[in-house]
Amino acid sequence: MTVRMLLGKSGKLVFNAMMLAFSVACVFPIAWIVYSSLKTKDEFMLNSVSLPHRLQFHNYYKAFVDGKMYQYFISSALNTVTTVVVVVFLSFCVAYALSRFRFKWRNGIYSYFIVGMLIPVYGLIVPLYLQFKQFGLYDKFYTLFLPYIAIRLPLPIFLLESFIRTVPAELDEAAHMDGASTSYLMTRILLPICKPAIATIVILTFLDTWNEFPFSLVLVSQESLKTLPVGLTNFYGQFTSDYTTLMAAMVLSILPVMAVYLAFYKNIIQGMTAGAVKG
Amino acid sequence: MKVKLWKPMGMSVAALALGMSLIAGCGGKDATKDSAPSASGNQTEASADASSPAKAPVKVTFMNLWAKDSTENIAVTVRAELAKFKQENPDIVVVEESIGDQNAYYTKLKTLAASNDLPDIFISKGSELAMFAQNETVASLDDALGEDAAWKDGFLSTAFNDLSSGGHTYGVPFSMLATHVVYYNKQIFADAGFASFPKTWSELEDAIAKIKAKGITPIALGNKEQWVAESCVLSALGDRFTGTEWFTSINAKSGAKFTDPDFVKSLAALQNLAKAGAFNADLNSINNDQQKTLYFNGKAAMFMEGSWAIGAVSAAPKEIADNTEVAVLPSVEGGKGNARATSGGAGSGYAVGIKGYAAKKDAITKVLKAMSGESFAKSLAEKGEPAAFKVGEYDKSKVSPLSVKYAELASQLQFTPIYDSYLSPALTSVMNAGLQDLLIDAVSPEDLAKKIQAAYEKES
Amino acid sequence: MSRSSSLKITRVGLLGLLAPSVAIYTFVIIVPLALSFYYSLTDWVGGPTKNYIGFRNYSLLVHDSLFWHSFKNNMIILALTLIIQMSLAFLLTTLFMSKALRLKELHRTVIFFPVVLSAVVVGFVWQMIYSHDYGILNSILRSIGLESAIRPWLDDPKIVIYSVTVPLIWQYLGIPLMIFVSAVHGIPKDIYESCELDGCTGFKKARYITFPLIYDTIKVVVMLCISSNMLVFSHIYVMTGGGPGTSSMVMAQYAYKTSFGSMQLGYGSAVTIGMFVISFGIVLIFKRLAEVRV
Repeated sequence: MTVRMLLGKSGKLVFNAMMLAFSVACVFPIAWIVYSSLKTKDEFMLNSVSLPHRLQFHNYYKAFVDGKMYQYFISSALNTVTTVVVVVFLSFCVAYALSRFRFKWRNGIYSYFIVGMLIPVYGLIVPLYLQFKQFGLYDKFYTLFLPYIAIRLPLPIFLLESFIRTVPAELDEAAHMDGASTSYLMTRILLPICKPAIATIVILTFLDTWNEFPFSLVLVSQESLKTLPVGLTNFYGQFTSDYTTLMAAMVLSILPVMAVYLAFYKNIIQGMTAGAVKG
Repeated sequence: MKVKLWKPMGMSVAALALGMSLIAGCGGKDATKDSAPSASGNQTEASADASSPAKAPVKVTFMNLWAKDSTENIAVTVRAELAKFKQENPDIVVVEESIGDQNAYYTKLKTLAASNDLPDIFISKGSELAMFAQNETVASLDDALGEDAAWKDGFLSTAFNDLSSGGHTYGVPFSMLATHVVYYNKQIFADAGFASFPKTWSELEDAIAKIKAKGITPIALGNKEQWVAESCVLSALGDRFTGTEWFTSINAKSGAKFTDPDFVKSLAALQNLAKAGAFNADLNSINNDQQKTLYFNGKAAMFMEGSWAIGAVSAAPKEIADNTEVAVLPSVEGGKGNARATSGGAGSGYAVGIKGYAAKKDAITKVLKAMSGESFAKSLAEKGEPAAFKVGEYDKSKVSPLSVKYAELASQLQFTPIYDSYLSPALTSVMNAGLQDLLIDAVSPEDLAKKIQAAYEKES
Repeated sequence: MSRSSSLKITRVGLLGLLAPSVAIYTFVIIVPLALSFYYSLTDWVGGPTKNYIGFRNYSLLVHDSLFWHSFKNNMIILALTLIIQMSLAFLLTTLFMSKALRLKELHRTVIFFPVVLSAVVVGFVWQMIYSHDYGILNSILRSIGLESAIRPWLDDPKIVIYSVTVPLIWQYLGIPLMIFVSAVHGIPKDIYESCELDGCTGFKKARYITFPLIYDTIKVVVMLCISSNMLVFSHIYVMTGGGPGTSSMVMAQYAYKTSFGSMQLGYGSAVTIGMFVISFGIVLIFKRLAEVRV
């Protein structure tokens, strides 16, 4: 029901106020971890909602330097960037093949990838560990690339497949008529059209990979190969946790995700170069 | 057909080939690299004398729950001893892997256990250790301990209880802890008319009623993670009713039942406390850190947790820390257990993966001794932490007043079994979940006892 | 959609596009899944011996009340999320195109913020909201005179599953929203323009243009919603640990608990596979339903 139809001017105001309240509710948790990270441990213990008495950045120093967060940062960045690049490339290839061509195994392959979205990761941990040990893939700098890429593939494939199908096939045909190669068609014509979908994929893949926990926990053991979420467990003690340092570490760890979101979201909004697809 | 395909195909094939060659290339190196130590934790690779023809240093892996920069007493002490050890034993390199979060730690440990790939040395709770022993993935340490009587006999006599199963010892203890200690605010008790901690159960109930009437939560309980009610309350409370023999019989599967009236009474006593409003309303949705928060804010008169909480209480706001005293639950009417007892023991210990033990037994034993023997125990004791190894005289100047009070209390107490150190994880999880229901009156003591007994019988 | 016959590709070309993905995916996902299925046919408890016991674990599973209880919880979460989150996301998507809403850019941006938070933070924040004595929710209820509505939100077994669903809906609203918005931006503007010339207004625009044109995307998002809610685990774990008792236990937690708590890896694998089969069944049902175009 549109707002305009349903409500008068005052109604519109109420509605806008509600939206604003909702948005505030979305910002509050971020604000909360930011200001909590500036409190002392004792302050937080006594009251977890109140504002800090005095700003102090000690927690950040503790998290970044003492907790060696920079090390986990590097590892996470390497794994995440690699994963995002490879996933975008591979999923685009698969989605293109699945959406544009009819072949014998097409539906089979499509379902084959669906399966991947329904598997509880913890169910894969034990067999995967054995496999990685067997093949000498355990605890190497590239160890996490494989599972990260594989587990992130399905969603982008579906998103892109459904997106490409909305792009009229006549476009491809016309390009072929003009003598364009498949690779030219894919990279120069289709890819720009898919920009909003790809931006979505970049954001989601980045987010999920950046936060991934079980694979990183089990498949690597050297400190320098562990990723941020595993590094964050250092702020939990056996019986008590250092919450304020944890908050500082969390603030640092969500910054890259925020940055990627804000950068790529613009791409979604700007949308496709209108006109290219008009049938 | 004009369509040129080589390009996309070429790209993917190249990517695949690159991936494969990376895998293959590095896999190839693996064999040689495996024996070399990899830098990890705060251990740097020992620079074995390059000139000497001596064999490469032995690598001993050590997985633990202590974050690298952990300031917990045990972690600090272990690391100091390891640093010393490194100086004295250049031919042994200890490679640490630390995972701070319990759940994560045990997830990884069990994955390794399932693949019979446990580290050379790792920390484990008694109950998981029994499971690993049954699965033949940990080494029995009977030999190693037997060969060095001075080391073995140096430990407190009860220290190995939690770490043994089937007549063999699988773990070396490092500290002794009580899982049940009542930390109470003597000011709040005094205001309610109690000069000291109640001596009988009815007196305790009376105190609870009076404290509650003043608008203060009598007992702060944070049982979200489910082990607090069982490990820190019921293990001690149960023993008051049943006596220790009952649990010994349960553990040996020699006749005792969870449906025995004494144990049911202990469940009923716990539920009655809840019904009387002794706990905070959100007891099942806050954790043990938050139960301390309630206490530190003066909103609760007491909380029950293990001896590990001493450090946190000592660091509490001054008026709370100064007013805090330690006690254990009072005697109960008709109870068969000793009232001057608490649930306690080593809890966890160092265990040894069976895979590396045969080849590296000497090195592993040396490391174990360094992390548990006299010098370690002494420096642990000086920090106010009770060690599992007997220590003579030590410097008490740095020990906090609360630690001194606790040491005094503990010296009069008998240690009784911590339930979850002995019962299997599966059984413990049934009991722990059931206690949550019990505390909100969603199950009766009798029904819960039946449920636990059913799970218990399923195992034998 | 048309797959024109004039578009042809060679076998090799097709292979080049598909093979790398299929290879990696098979190695990391399908092979372990197959191994997991094999474990589920054994009595493995983590030791050196695995005895083949056929489908006995599965017959236990079918009669395992805790598993079905967890399944029911998953279904409650899934149903609520599908209904509330999807319709909210679609509603907001259309609102973002309407003129009545101010500060669109701001809303669009911040609604995604919760998505980046970790389960620990979300758990913390919602505990602050739900806390019985000091929680924001109960204070609001008190201040507007609804004392009777005050509940121990996370401690009452009857409502806890609903209490833990709300944060899930709230946190992940940004994802369907973002996907919808990106799909809507793929709809050529002139379709709307010509529709407006025909006197088409908001609701009709949404119903007859936006909805059909992003129908495929909606299907994908529903799929995503099904998969993430069938696998949901850590948020609930952080908020309640599955409690009180087992009231808010979900399937993934149950699988985790059996495999990694007590190392009943045989049975745990059966739980995992059981979960997987059920989720797959739900997806198939959904696909069948979705074929009926609205």
